[in-house]
Amino acid sequence: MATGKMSTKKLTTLSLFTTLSLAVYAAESLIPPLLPIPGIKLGLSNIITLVLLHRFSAKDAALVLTARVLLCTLLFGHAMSLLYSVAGGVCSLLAMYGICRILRRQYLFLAGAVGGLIHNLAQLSVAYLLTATVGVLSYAPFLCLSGILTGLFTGLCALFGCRHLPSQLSGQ
Amino acid sequence: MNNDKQTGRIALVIGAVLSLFSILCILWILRSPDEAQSYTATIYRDGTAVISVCLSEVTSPYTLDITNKDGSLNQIEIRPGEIGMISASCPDKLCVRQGFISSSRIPITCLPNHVVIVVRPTDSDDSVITY
Repeated sequence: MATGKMSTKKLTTLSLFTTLSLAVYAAESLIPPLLPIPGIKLGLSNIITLVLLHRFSAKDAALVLTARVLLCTLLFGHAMSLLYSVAGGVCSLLAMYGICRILRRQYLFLAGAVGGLIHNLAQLSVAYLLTATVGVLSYAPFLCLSGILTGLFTGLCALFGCRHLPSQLSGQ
Repeated sequence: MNNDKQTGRIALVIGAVLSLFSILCILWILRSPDEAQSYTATIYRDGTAVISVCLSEVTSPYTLDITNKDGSLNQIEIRPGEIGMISASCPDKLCVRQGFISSSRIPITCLPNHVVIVVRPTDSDDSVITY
C-alpha cells in the first residue's frame, strides 16, 4: 500500500470496514452450526462486502475482502480454510459485482442472494476437488437453498445498513 | 428504470425456481428409501475406497480407526445395520454430529480430514474392496 494514491480518509475508512468484517466473522464463528452439513453458515461478513460494492467500488470491496480473508485465516483458521475462503470469496465477489452492475446498484438483496449461492457452490466444488469423492455433491441442494436464503438475509441487512450510513462515507 | 424492474423480476423468478428445485431435491434425497436387502458402507479417504463393510452382516459393533498421513484420526463405529463417526481430530466435529446412517443417500463427511462414508444398497456395488 506504499504507492497509494489513496487518501488517508479512504485508507482509514477501508481499514475500519476490514476491522468490522473481522469482528462480525469472529462473532459468527461463535454461533453453533444449525445443521451438521459442512458449509452452512450465515455469512454475515458478506454484509460489509455488499455495502462496499454499493457505496464504494469493486476494487475497494476486493481489498477489504482480501485483507479479511488473510487475517481470518491467520487468526482463526488453518491452512485448508484459506483455500475455501479464497474460492468462496473471489467467486461470490465477481458474481455480486456482476449483478450490481446489471441491476445498477438496486435490489441489493438479489446481489446478496446470488453471492451467497455462488459462495456455497464454489466451496462445494473445492470440497469435491479435495476429497475426490462424488458423494459430497449430494450436499448441493442443501447448500444451494441455504446460500440463497442466507444471501437474501445479508443482502437485506446491507440494504438497510446502506440507507443509514452517513452520506459523507462514500468512495472517492 | 423499467428495465431494471424487469431484470429484478427475472432474477427473483430465477431465484424462486432455484429454491423450489433445491427443496424438491432435498425432499427426494430424504424420502424413505426402498427397502433393499442389505446395504454396504464404503469409507473413502482422499477419494480412494479404504474399506467396504456389508452392514447387514455385522453381528456385533466394532470400531475402525482411519488415520491420515498428517496424523489426523477418524474413529468410525460400525453397528448392525448402521455406521457412524464417533470421534474425529478435525476442529469442527460436524462429522460426529451427523450421527449414524443406515440407508440415507447423504454421506457422512469429514472435510478437513478428507474422509467420506457412503452407504449404498449391496446390489449396486460392482466389487467389494477390503483390506
